[in-house]
Amino acid sequence: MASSTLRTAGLGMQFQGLTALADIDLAVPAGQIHGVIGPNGAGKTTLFNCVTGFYRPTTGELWLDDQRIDGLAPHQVSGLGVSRTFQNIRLFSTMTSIENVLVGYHLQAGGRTTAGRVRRPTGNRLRDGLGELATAPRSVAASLAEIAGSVFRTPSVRRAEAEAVARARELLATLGLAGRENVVARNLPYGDQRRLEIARALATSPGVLLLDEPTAGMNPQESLSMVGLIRRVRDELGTTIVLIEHQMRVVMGVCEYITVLDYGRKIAEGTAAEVQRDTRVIEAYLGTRAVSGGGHGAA
Amino acid sequence: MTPLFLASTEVWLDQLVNGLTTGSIYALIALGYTMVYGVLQLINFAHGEVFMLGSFAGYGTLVALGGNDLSGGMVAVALILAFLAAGGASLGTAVAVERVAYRPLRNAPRLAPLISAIGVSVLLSHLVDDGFLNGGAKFYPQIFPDGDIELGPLQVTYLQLFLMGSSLAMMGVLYWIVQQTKTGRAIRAVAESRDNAALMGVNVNRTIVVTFALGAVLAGFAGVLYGLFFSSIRGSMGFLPGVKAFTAAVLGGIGSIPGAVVGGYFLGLTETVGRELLNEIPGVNLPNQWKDVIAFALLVLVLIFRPTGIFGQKESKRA
Amino acid sequence: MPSPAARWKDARAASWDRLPSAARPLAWLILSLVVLFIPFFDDVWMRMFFLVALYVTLGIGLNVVVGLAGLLDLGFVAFFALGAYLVAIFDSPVSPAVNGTVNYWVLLPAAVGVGALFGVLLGLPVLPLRGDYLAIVTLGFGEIVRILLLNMDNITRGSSGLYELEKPAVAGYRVDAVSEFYVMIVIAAFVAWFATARLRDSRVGRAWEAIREDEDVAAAMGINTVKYKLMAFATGASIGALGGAINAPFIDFVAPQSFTLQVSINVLALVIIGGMGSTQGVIAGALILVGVPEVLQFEETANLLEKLGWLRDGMNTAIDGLNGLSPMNLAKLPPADEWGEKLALYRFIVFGALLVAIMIVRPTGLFPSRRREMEFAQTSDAELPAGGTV
Repeated sequence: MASSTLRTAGLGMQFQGLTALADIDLAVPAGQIHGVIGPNGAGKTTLFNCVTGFYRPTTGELWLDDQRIDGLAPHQVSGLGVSRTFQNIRLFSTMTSIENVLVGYHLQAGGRTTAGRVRRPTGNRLRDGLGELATAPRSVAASLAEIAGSVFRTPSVRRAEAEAVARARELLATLGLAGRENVVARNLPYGDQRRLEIARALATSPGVLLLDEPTAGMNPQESLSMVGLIRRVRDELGTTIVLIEHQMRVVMGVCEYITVLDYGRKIAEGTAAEVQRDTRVIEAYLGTRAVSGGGHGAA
Repeated sequence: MTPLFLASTEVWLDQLVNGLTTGSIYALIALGYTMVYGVLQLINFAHGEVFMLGSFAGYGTLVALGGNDLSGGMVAVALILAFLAAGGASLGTAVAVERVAYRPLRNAPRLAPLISAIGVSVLLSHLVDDGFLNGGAKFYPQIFPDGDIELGPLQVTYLQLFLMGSSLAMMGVLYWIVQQTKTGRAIRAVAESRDNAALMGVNVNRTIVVTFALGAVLAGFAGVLYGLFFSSIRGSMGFLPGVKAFTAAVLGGIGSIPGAVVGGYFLGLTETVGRELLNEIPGVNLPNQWKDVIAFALLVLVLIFRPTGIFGQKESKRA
Repeated sequence: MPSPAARWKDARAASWDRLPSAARPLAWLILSLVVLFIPFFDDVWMRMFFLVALYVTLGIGLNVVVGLAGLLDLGFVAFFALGAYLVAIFDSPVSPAVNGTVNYWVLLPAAVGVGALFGVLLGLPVLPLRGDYLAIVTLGFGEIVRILLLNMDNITRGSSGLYELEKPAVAGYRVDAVSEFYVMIVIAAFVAWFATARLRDSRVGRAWEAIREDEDVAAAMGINTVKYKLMAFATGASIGALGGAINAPFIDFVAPQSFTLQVSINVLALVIIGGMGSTQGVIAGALILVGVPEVLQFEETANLLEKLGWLRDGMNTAIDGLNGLSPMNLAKLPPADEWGEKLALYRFIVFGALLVAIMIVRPTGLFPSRRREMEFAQTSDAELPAGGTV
């Protein structure tokens, strides 16, 4: 499966004058398990939101392999192979497990329409609008074909559907959810919901997988099995993984490289051992500000 | 020298006064939309009907006190009583609607209260039209003396002057309540964050009811002014002013009180002066109904290009 | 090991292979009703059945938009009007813009296509909007369309309307009787149902469902949300136009006053009362909201109501009391022989009350789809953006 590099250069995000991220340089080589840590409010989830196109970064650049992806819409970013999970699980809660995964297979099941390069918006509304207009006929034709195919259930549609179902089952089994295919997502136990969210993300065949606190709310034993799962995903599929994590045991156990954020800035990076020794990191977590009564608590 | 415009100066000034007059009514109704939206993020679809019922209560009062026969000082007394009755009827309606149709659905998905609101709107307008009026209309008594006053170059009727002046006064009172009183602070706190306000000891339920009530009283006043100005009232009268007032609230940035006022006047002027401007294009002669098209088109354009409103200062909350 | 598809088949929630078996009984039921109704009812009843079936068709169309994709559309009447006017403009001898007539069977598919096209054109600018803003904007569009129809005299003849439409002909036989139009609209309803059921159980339907549940996450999973919302809008619009195109030669008078906001609200209400997302719900909703008021107008109903005169007298006493407070001259309730008519008039009052009551007591409607029921059982935190938005 795919494995991509993710790179940010001078990435910054401001909300009405409030700086959430500033000048973030990040380079995640293909197949790395990369940890992003930092106190609450350090900008970790904002970083994920920028990478996945939920936010449009105010400054800087985002690169996936050799393609620039900042400014693209979330579905385009996803189509290029960046997938994610959410801090507070966001499954399609009334759909069954397998249906959740099938949504992840959406692009595969219909033939990847955004394969290859995607035009980045120039920021000029008129030019972008005209650009979209130029692709409109093809898009309309594709939509009509899709509707017709679904209504008449053509052999190719049926084949694609059967294949998607088969692959979804396989994926669920890989993540230890065999037998739960038809359980409605919100009736799953908590740990299974986390795993289902990862399954759904993997269904998009990502080159880069972003995990936002995959062990949040888990006991040590569950966390341990999650760590095993994350490592297996990388080893078996080769997927590059970036994860936000608060549990230091998890971070130190699984991450090969760590970036530390505080107040929207990168304050340190390196291997687990290096980061642990860094005085600025220690300060951010336990240090002077906490003692002097200001700011934010440690994880 | 050829004139700049086809229409004469008088036509323009007339349209200006007309725009300000209808704008005052839009602004008064828009305040209710914007305040309720501020605290609940709900489009109170029944607000137009609250306005309508206020208009009918005012009508009933004026007729009971003598109708067309009112004169002299009695006009003032009757007007005050009519405003009180209208405010009271609208307030009662709004509070009842909030209690029955919205509060049980406060934690339901967004579609549910909206549909319930549409239900209330249909129920009330048809209750009046089909239940009581048999599809007919009632006519407000003509209690204002005829004749114009000259305000500089403007020709204004007594009624228009009263309408503009009294609505300004009412908006001033509202502004004072929201900015200066404890109740106003509670409203602003709930609008900011319902949860945090509750944590700080604000009675959220009560504040929401008060918000509905304040908006309703203004809508009731607007109902009386509408009746005095347009004369004919009916059950379905709330729909168009309602949608337009909502447009005004969106124009001004929904949730913003000064925005609703500015939006109301802006819409009133756009409808009248805007249509006149379009008529300046050779070969174009738009009938009066096009002012509705202008209003709706404006709404659509603003929502698409500037969902925070033309005058909106803050980023509106996404939800 | 059995093939994955075969194993999938017996899964409870398997939607894709469910249709053929589910389709058969319903298809038979509808067909037998069509056949059974024709000989036994007079035109008055047939007219009622036509109206119900028409609203079932419209409801199925709107259901795609509201029930499946979760987009609140209050301007659905625009597409209904579009279909009706397309046929009327080309097939009415009084049409000022077009001389001669075009074959109805050319216009019918054209209406479907034009409906879809306008669905896309109207939807394109507004679909990025969310929830209640979308409702207001579509409402505005619906009103704009009505006012335009009223004012484009040289095409639509304004409020004078277009009439004497060329009746559709099948192999030289002109469709004219009420029952024949009834067959047409039932076929249309069936086609609409079949198409939308197939869409619901496909990859497209899954995308709609995902968008309805969580638009941000759907986008993060690679779904082009605007494109799929447009597809829902266009599908609904084309079905609305189809209904309009069949209704036009039937009523034979196409004028703006038939295309008010009330039609949009009617269709929306029957979808919701029936239970969003379900076809049985649409049929039940149409029977209740369209069928019952019609039946109330029948002579038989008036005769029955004559026996309830005492209730009327009591209510009139109350009205007298109100009139005594202020001389508003409220109308009194009519005598029994006018009751049918009055009850039909009061249907909107009942209708509004029903909407409120159902939302509060049974927010899922009468026959909710399994999904919808679960969604409504959720609390508001599902609505709050988390992680993705601020």
